[in-house]
Amino acid sequence: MNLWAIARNTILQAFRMRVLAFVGMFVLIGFPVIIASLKSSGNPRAELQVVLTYSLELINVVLSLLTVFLATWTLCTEIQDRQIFSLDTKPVFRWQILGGKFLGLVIVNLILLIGMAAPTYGLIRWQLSKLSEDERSEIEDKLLYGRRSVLPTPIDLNAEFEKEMRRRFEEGLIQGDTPLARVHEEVRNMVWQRSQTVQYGYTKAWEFRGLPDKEKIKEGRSVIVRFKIFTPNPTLKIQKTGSWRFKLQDGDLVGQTRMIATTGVTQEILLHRNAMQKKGGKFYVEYKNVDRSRTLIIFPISDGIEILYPTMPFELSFVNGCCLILIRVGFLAILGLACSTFLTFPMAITVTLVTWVLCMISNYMIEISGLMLMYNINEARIAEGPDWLDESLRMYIRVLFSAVPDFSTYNPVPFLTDGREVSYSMVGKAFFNLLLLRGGVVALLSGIIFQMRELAKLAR
Amino acid sequence: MSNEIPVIEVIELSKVFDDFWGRPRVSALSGISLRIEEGQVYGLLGPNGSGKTTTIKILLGLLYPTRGTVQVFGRSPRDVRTKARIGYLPEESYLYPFLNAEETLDFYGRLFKLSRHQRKERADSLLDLVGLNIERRRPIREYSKGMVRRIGIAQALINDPDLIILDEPTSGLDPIGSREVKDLILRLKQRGKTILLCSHLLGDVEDVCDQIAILYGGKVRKSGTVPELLTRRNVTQISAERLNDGTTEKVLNLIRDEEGNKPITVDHPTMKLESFFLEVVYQAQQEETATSGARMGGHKESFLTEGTLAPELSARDVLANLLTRPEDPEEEAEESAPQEPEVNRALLGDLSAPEKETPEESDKEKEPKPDQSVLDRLVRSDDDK
Repeated sequence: MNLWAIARNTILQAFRMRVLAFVGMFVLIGFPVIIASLKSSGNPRAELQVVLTYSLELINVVLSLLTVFLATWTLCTEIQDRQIFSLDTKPVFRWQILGGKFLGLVIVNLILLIGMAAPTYGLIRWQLSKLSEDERSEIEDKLLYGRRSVLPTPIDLNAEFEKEMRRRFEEGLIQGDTPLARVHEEVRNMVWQRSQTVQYGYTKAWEFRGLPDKEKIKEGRSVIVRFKIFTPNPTLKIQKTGSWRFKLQDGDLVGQTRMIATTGVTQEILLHRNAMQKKGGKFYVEYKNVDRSRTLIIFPISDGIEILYPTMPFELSFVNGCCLILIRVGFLAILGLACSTFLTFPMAITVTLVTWVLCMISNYMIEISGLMLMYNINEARIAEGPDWLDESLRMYIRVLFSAVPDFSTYNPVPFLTDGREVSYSMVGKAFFNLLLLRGGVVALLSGIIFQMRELAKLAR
Repeated sequence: MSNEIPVIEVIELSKVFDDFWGRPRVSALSGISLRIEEGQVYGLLGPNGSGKTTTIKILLGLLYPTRGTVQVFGRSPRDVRTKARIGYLPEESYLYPFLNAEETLDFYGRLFKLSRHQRKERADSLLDLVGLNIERRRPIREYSKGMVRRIGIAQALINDPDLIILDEPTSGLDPIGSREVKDLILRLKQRGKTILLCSHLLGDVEDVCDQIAILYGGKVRKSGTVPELLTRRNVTQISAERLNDGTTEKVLNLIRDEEGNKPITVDHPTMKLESFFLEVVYQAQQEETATSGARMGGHKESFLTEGTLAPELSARDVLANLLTRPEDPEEEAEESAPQEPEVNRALLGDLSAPEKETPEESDKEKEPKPDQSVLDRLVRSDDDK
């Protein structure tokens, strides 16, 4: 009851601070701006993607900023204005003060999220209603249905490396005066390049495991083979012809097509659900470079090719996406309240905002630290050995950014705008990782600090 | 000393405020000891910075002692079971400005796990008590300082506390409000509540407290009952309704005959300004003069109306006060305090805990009384004339 009483008070506090007016302003100004931005585009699917991206990112940013402000403001001002004296002298545990405020903030966010996500969904449906029947059914199939991605079975680059090295030794291709480290680097690069390129006249095959049998795929929904090709000059946007074949585990050919694809642009091939096997198993995709320009075709290892099969309606995915947003702001609420237990308002809001930014760039920064490692192994450094300063910095970045949660992993926007599912397991992982694990540790520490604080001294 | 667990027991309490680096900066309390028994009205007196508020904050768990022991109802002040029995009015009523009076009381009532019905009834009664019934829906940020103080008093009583800690309860209140707070304290005392009152308004403390402790520099300089500390044992004062010159001369002669040529002063006692002010305002209220702000005198539940001094104030009451004041300042309080209210128990629920066998009657007998024999003789001689 105490938790609810404090939560209820926090909700009243938030809404009487004109939070509703703020959100109303967002709806009244933000959505017309989004609609206005659509007029220049002639591609209905792209228009919907813009609506989804702008709306969800705006919701994300607005709720995050609002949560950071509310979480730090509600506790800091209560301590500084000494209302905490009246509260703490009532039969309330201090963890209940923090818990009640957290609950209140989550409910405020939930109300605002519903208030903003519902118009977003309405806008999508409204946009859809303006399209022709064919356009609508195509978008509903390709974009507005959640699909799960299956990536090709990864090539064992180490095995390929060993094989190539063995070949070179056996054929006497490695000269005595060449440093072995340099040969290793050269062979690794070659294996890595070869794994993602297709020369003219050659065929590249990918093996996919884990695709569902056709009975489990909803009638009327397609399986999508999505790929992106490049040429050695990645800045050029040119069209390349390729021949595609799709085979089952037993070698049966279930489809083939010849297709002209623009480089650097994501392309899709739709497969009928009947192309899938009756009882799952492996599925093979082959690509033959038949372009007369004889240019090398590159399929990047990270996002070169994938198969997407339908799993859940867009609406469910959209709701799950909103849950992810709520979980992210929930973590920010914990963080803001935690900072407020020992910092003044300006400091608490600054620290929370900085941490929020770190959460958003943590994945990128960890990648950067990986690139630093690669830089360290360039030719000039090989002879000198690793630089301890660089190595320390790299380790520091890795540790720092591994400690803060990675918000980009749990950002629903790229999934929803790309026709992918926001799965229950993703929501569960986010809940565990952001709220239970990291949020729990932060909450526990802040609870101990708050319990130990002399509130009257804090307010002096 | 009673063997029962005292309501508050403070033994050798010290509090030192450290700076950022943990170095001692200010010593706010230096080994104070207090023992407050059930049903007492205990006053903490002292100039600014003497340690009154620090003591109260330690008793409430808002500050932690550096040394010494503090127990409230035999437990740590930070124990929620202790807090459930305390009502606290801070130095300034630190309330949520975005709530109105009704919501404020409802919020605090929820923290005491009161049912919706209890919260509603207590809020109604308390808003009546503090004269804010008409303004119950106005946000507190729009209240005047005095009105905020009044709602602060109401929130401190929402749980029908056994121990009420009042830090400068009359600050920001007009004389009527101050008087009502004092009356309220006395009514609460009659109900067996223990009250710790912290004030630097000596008149407030003198009017209502059984025991006082005077703090200075974080130490208790003096403590004891109010009569013990204030009575001038070497002076006798007699008061009566206006006597004619002959009667006065007879009295003086009588005293001279009995006591010899001791110096005697004869003059007319003056009313306390507070009583005079209340009389004027009461008259204005009777004439229904328009006013804004807190409105007193609206409909009140029976247990709240009894004991309000102003309506009953009469020359006789003032006389009675004056008669007893020199011997025992508490006597005035007894007169002005309500008779034991007829509590509407169904309405109040827990607010009206079963009355204890308070030492009211026996105490009254022990308290000093005016010398009735002298008065009788004065009246008779006057009649004879």
